[in-house]
Amino acid sequence: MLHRIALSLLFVTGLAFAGPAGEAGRYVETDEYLRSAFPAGVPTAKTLWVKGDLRADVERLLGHRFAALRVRYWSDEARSAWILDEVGKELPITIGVSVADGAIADVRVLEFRESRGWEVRYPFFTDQFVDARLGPDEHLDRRIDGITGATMSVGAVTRIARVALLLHEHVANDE
Amino acid sequence: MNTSQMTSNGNGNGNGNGNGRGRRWFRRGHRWVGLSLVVFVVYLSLSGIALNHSGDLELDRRYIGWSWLLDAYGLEVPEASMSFSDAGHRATLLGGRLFLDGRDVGQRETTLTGIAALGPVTLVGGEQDVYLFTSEGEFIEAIELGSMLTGPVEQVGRAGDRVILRSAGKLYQSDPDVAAFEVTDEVTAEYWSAGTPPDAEETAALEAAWRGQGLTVERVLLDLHSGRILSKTGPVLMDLVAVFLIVLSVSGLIMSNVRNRRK
Repeated sequence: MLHRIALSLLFVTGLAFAGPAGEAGRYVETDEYLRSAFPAGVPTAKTLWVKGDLRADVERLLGHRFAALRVRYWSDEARSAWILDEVGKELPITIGVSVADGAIADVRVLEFRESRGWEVRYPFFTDQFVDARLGPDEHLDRRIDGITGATMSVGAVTRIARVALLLHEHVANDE
Repeated sequence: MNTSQMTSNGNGNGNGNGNGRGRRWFRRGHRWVGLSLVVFVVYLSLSGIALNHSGDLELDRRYIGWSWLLDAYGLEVPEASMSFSDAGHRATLLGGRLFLDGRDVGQRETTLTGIAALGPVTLVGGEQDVYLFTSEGEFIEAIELGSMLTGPVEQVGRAGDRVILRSAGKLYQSDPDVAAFEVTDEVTAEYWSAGTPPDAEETAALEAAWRGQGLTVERVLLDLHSGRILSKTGPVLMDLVAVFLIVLSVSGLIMSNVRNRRK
C-alpha cells in the first residue's frame, strides 16, 4: 500500500515538473538504446521469423494478431535486446526491452505517438519490470502497478515485456 | 372521493377546487414529461454503457461501412500524396497511411521514397524506415534506418536480388534476406523507383479502402450520445432533455413530499 502511495506521489510530482518533456515523441534513438544495452559494443542485428508455435505463443500473450512476420533483435552471450511495437489505443508505442538470464534487465519507451498515456516512459513505471521473469502462467512473476489515465499504454508495455521474455527464451533454447 | 377533493375540502379553503385542479395538472405534466423522456433515457443509458466499455468491445477498432453515413460525415478521401509501383505492386501514401496494392497495411509515414519488388519480398521506402512485405502483401517487418543513415532515404532501387537505397549521396545495399544494409560503392542499380499516379481502378480501390477505415463505431456512438450527430441542433436537444430530467426529478420530489405530508 505504502509502495502504491509513494508511486502515486512520485507520479503527481513528475507531472508537476514534466512540462513539454512529458509529451509524445521520440525519446530515445535506436542506436542510443542499443549502446546502453550493450556498453561493450553493439552486436550485429539478427532476425527471427515468428511463425508456427512461436507465433501462436506470441499472439496468445498479446491477445491479438501479431502484425510482423519477422522481428529484429541483438544478442551477445550475456543478453538480448528487442525493439517491438505495440498499439496502446490507436497508434504503436516503440518499446525496447533487454533480457539477461531469462529476466528483464531494462525496459525503455523509445517512441510514443499518442496524445495520452505517455507517462509510461518514466523510470518510476519502467523500473518495475527490472528482474521480472515469466511465471508458469505466462504472466510476469510480479505485480506491475498501473498509472491512472494510461491504462492502455501500461497494458501495451506489459504485453511487450512478456513477449520479449518469451522470444529471448526461444532464441536461447535454439542457441 | 379522490385525494385532491379530500385535500381541498380539508383545507376549508374557497380556492380548494383550484388547488386540486392545479395538482392534477402538475401530476399530469409530470407523467407526460416522464413518458416523453423514456426513449431518451434508454438511448442515453445504452450509448453510455457502450462507451464505458468501448475498449473491451473494441469500438475504436470497428469501422462503419454504410456509405450514406460516411457521406453524411463528409468523409472525403485525401489525394494520394505519393505513389510508386514496381512489378505489379503499388505503394501509395494517402493521408499519412501506407497502402500496398489498395490495402491499408497499418503503417504510418510522412514520405514515400520508392518501392522495389524482389520476388518473394517487396520493400517500400519511407524517409527513415523501410517496410518489407511478402509477395502476397503480408507485412514482414519495418526496419528503422534513421540511426544508420547520414540522411533520409532519397531513392529506392534494386540490383539483382538486392535492394539499393540512396541517402545523402551514398548507396546502401541490402543482404539477400533484406535484413541488413551496408554502404557500397561497387554497385550500379538496374532500376530506380520513380513516382507515378495510380490509374482509375487503383484510385477507386484506394478510396474504398480509405473510407472503410475512416469512421469508427466509437466516434458515431460519441456523437449519438452527445447529440452532435444532428449537427448544432443535437447538443441543444440533449440540453433540453437534461433540463426536463431535472424538472422531472424536482417535480417527483415535490409530489413525493406532498404525499408523505398527507400520510
